[in-house]
Amino acid sequence: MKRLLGLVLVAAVVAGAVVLPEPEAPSGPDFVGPETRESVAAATASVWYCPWVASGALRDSTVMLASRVEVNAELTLPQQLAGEPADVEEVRLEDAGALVINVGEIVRRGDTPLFVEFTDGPAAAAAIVRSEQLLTGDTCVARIPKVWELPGGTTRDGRTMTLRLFNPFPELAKVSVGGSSESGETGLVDLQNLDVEGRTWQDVNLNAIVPLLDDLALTVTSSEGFVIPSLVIAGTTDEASWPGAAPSTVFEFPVASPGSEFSPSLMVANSNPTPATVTIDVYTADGVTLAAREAEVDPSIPRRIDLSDLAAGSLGVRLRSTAPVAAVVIAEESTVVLEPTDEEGQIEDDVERGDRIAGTIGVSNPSSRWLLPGLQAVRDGEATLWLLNTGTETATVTLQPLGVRELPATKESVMPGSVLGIPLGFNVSVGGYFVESSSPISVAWSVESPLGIMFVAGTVVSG
Amino acid sequence: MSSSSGTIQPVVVAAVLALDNADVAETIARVRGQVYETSRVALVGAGGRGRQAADAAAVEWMASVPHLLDSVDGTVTHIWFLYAGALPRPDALEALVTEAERTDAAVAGSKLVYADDTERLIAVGIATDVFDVPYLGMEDEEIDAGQYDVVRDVAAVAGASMLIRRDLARGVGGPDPKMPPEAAAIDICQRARLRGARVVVVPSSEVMYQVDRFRAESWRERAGRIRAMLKVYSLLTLLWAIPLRLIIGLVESIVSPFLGRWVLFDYIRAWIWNLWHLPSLLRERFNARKGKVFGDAELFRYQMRGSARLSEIGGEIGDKLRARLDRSDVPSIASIGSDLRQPAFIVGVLTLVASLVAVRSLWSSGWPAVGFSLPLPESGGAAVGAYAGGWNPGGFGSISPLPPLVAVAGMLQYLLFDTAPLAAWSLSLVAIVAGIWGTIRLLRVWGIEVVAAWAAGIVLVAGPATQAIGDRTAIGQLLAVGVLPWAVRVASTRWPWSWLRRLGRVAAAGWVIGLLAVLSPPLLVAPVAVLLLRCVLRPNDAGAWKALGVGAAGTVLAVPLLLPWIAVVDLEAYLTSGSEYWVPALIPLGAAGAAFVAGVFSTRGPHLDAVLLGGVLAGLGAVIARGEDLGLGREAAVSGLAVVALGLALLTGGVLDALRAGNVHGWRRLLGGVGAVAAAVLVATSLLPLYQGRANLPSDEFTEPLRFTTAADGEATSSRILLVGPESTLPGEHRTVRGAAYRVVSAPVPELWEVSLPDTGPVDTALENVLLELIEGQESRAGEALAEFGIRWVVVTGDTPLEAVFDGQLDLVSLGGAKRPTFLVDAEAPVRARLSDGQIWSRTGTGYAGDAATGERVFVAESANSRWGPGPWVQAGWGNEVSAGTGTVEFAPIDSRRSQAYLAAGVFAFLFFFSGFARRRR
Repeated sequence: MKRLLGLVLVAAVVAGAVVLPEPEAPSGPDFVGPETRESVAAATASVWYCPWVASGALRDSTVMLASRVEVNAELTLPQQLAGEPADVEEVRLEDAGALVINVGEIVRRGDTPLFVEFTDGPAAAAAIVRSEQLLTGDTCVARIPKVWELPGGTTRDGRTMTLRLFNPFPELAKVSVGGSSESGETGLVDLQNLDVEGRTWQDVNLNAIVPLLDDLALTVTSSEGFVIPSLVIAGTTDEASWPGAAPSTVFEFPVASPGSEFSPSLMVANSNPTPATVTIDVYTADGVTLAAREAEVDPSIPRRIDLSDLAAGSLGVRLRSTAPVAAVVIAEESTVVLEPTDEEGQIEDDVERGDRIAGTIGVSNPSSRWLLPGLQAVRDGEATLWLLNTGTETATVTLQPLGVRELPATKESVMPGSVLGIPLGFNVSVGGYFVESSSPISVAWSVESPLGIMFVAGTVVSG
Repeated sequence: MSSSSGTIQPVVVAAVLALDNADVAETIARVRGQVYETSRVALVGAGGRGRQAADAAAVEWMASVPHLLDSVDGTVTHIWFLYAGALPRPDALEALVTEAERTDAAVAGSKLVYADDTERLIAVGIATDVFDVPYLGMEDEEIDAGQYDVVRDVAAVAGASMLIRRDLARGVGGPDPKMPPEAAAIDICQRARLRGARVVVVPSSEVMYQVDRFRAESWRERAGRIRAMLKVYSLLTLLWAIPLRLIIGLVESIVSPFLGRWVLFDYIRAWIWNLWHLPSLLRERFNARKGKVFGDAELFRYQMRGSARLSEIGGEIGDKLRARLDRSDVPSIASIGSDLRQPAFIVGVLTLVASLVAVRSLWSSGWPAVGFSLPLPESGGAAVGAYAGGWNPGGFGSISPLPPLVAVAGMLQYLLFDTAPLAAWSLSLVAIVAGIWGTIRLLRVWGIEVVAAWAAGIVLVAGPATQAIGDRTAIGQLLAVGVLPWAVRVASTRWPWSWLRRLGRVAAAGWVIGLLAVLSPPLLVAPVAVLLLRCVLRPNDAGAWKALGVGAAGTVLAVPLLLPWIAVVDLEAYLTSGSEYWVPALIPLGAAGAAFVAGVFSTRGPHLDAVLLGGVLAGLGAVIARGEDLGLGREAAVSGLAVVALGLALLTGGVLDALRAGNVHGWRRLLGGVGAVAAAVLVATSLLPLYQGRANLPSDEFTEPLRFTTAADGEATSSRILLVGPESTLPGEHRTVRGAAYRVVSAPVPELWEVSLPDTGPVDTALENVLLELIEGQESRAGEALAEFGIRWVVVTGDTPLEAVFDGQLDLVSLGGAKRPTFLVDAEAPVRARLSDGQIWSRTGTGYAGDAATGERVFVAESANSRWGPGPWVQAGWGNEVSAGTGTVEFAPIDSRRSQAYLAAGVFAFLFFFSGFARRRR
């Protein structure tokens, strides 16, 4: 009896233990890594990287900061020699302010890529480089992906292509650069596993490696660490620079050409395994031409789409693609005439113009709020604000100048399916703009001077 | 008086020391019968009884040796001290005087022979080890064939007959009255030697003596030897001699029970006695070393190397082994079985060997740093202080109560000269030895013999359940497994006949169950539960019900031992927090099941009880160990595994011993064989983990990967480490941010008192916010943000999305040479305590120290608490800001908790000593 009772008791207890279910494993992390930092001005602290900055005997640079809130900013200018202490400048932007900083007043040692840390936001930065012969610049970037797409390069005769790899981080970056041209993939064997020491940079002259390529798109991949690349195309005098682009199926370029003296073209690179079909919509002040051009972009073969015949004068474009592609718009003032323009083979005088060149990346998501650091703050140049409305309703746009004191805002209307260029001269009181629209638009600005021309993409303000 | 040759004839006074109840009359008669006449004979000591004896023997009486020395005039050259009961031959004094004069010795001693067999030697001079433990260097009852008959220098001579020069005796103050006879003899010889005197033994001077009065191993003798050691040596020598003496005493206490002796209480008493008499010791030490001519080296010349005590124990073990092996050329299975059925030698040796093997890897480094097993803190005293109302350093610190295990380990570590690995090794060793031994003792109480009980002990300390505890790195429960059988046994032994002993039994149950609970609080109720189940199985057994009563009373008495922890802890949270679920391995599970079923049908009597009780305990323990669905947390679940371990041990013992008992026949006996095979499988699967040498714990996972921090500039201990990785790879408890686990620990390696994390506080929220900003890409200077928390390194312990979060930061540097992906904070002052100018303060225990800076403030990156000081204290965000004026920053302990800790210690001491006292009273 005792045996039986004991057996039953133990069996009951063991059964109780057996039926107790195993707890479910914890669900685990709900993220796979840091959320990608986009180059948008958010209401947080942020860091903006400006690779193409130089301040020396021949060149001057200006860093332009704009913020919607009172904020401190710290500019850090590393040295090219690893381990050397960086130059640091701290500034303060008063409420809704903007600030233009001459880099030469901080340090004057030639190339000086830098980064700007804002303690709060929304805030953004842009940088320009100028000399007696050139004017270039673009917005600084906040995103730091492992892979960068840099379309729009060329090593053709008369053009010099430089890739700057800026490593603002303390640890070494190992970088591989891939290239594709009109001939397909271009073997850049010398650019594999490049070491970029922490808080330094390297410039790569592509003309010496792969000369005489009409179109060259680059892919910069960091296997260790991170770099911020910038592509610089130099002509005989002027030069254009733009940062890396994130692939997208839609890009809007509020400015592709500021006037008829420039030949705009769109450079598209497809890193997908299959071809992508891109459709170009052309916007002018008068209206839109949808599907003005359609082209197929093969994998590993960048495509240059000439836009000069689509409209006379200024225009903006929108690119739609069947697959994510990278794109930049370039406007060139042609002095390089490859073919004779008259029957005798002589070059006509009126075709001989300057060699000004500009380029910029596009906007993949139109937004209602934009920060434009530096607009109207570039001396000796005619600035134009470009507002592209690809929507279906009229956008009422408020233009709020940012400066050392409160300035009155103005309002503009942008008709649906049109681009509006607003000329804005230099104003010593203005260091940038905050643009607010009743509906999403795309915004960029340009500066044109006898020395050169530059396009600067606007910075989306999130939230 | 002068000799015929003109030299001064030594004048001797005989002093018979009436130190015990020995008859003085015959000794005095023998003195009077000496061929070398003494000028006086005096009886010294023994109060009124001594005075009466002196009157009866017609000799003068002196109250004490100092009185005697005062009464001796300058004509006397020597004093001959004799113990009452010593019977000198007629020429004994003459030989002493002659040889002392010849050799210019200040102290001369006689050869001692058995009073009842004068052909056998007791001692011819005494060698000692450095701890003043005597070593005679001869066999017991060795025949006197003149082999030692040469006058020679010795470390000491027996006090039973010692001739000492009068001036020296007065100079050194005679024998120490606080010492027992033999220790006093050694002591005076050593003090004499320090003064440059020669100490010789004169074998031609024979004294008969009762051997049982020589080398009496009382605790007073032990205490006297310790006192003698402490009196004569330099501080430098004592610096190593005292620790070694403590260790040797500890080893002796562990081993002696296997040789049939119990010396632990004597060992403890001897040290406490010396502490109690510390003032007189210091005074005597001053006198002993005042005017010394020689140093310690002169004493060492006449001492043996090593430990006399350990040599003696080794010799005894060797003797026993030889005795076993000499009995027959090839020991038969039957003879071995016969030996093993005696709870003494072979089982003891096997237990000790198995235990030493099981903990061998812990000797050098202590407990491995893995999971909830972490090394002991650097300072045992600091650990005890932290437990007793001090600062809990887990995470960013708190006033949450530390588990009592920290206090126990800290106290032991303090006693072992703050050697953390030694303390961890000792605890683990004692736990395993105690576990096996306790199982043997428990099962013997319940009628199971030693061989099966030993196998059951192996299953207890290394069986599948204990392995599971080890896998879960639950140090407390691993140690508690060793105490669990004792906690049941102490209540289960036969109910004593006297009330004093009964009270002693309850007190013993109190401190043993208390010790169990201190190691694993949920196991406080386990002994009562076991005893209750036994009552259910044996409802008519009055002894079982009495045991239950003792167990219940002991449990009540044990509760205060958990103070202050139990008064502060949120018991519900304690028992329900954390997650554990036991999935037993199939082979041991099948073996246990087969053993149980076979055991139920093939055993009877006490074996059946053991099988049934073991089965129920294993089942209930399994329910608890798998009871997360019932709301049980980690501590409860792991404690459930300890119950399973005890259940499996009882089951194993019952099934194996039933085969020996042979009280079943036929198919039942066949089934019993099957059960025994299954139980043997359980034993076999338990032996392998023992061989791994880490006391069932996994290998270290943090010490090496984090060692690089010690190579960094400055002190690693001044900073913290942020560990990120899967929760199973992090030490102790962890926190999560968006489901990803992380843990902040002290550098260079987290310590045991950091295992638990307090409730989330402002500092934890602040760190979580930093991590969230990193995840959301809003922070680019993680180093600067982490430096605020004193975090200098980020170490990735396994796959985690947090690793990528630390990429692309402006002030984090990846360390390529580290064993794990590691980031170094490249920001200013990533330290736990710093002045406003960035000057770093070091961590000491739970506080900080640095250069005193009057008027300056020091920021302490610990959870804000107004008890941090010196004041004025100001809360700085989530941290503290205090004065830097004194150069130290401390947390002022919580008085009520400290008082409770004292109370717990007092209750434990009372229960412990009262139980020992009551047990020895007849």
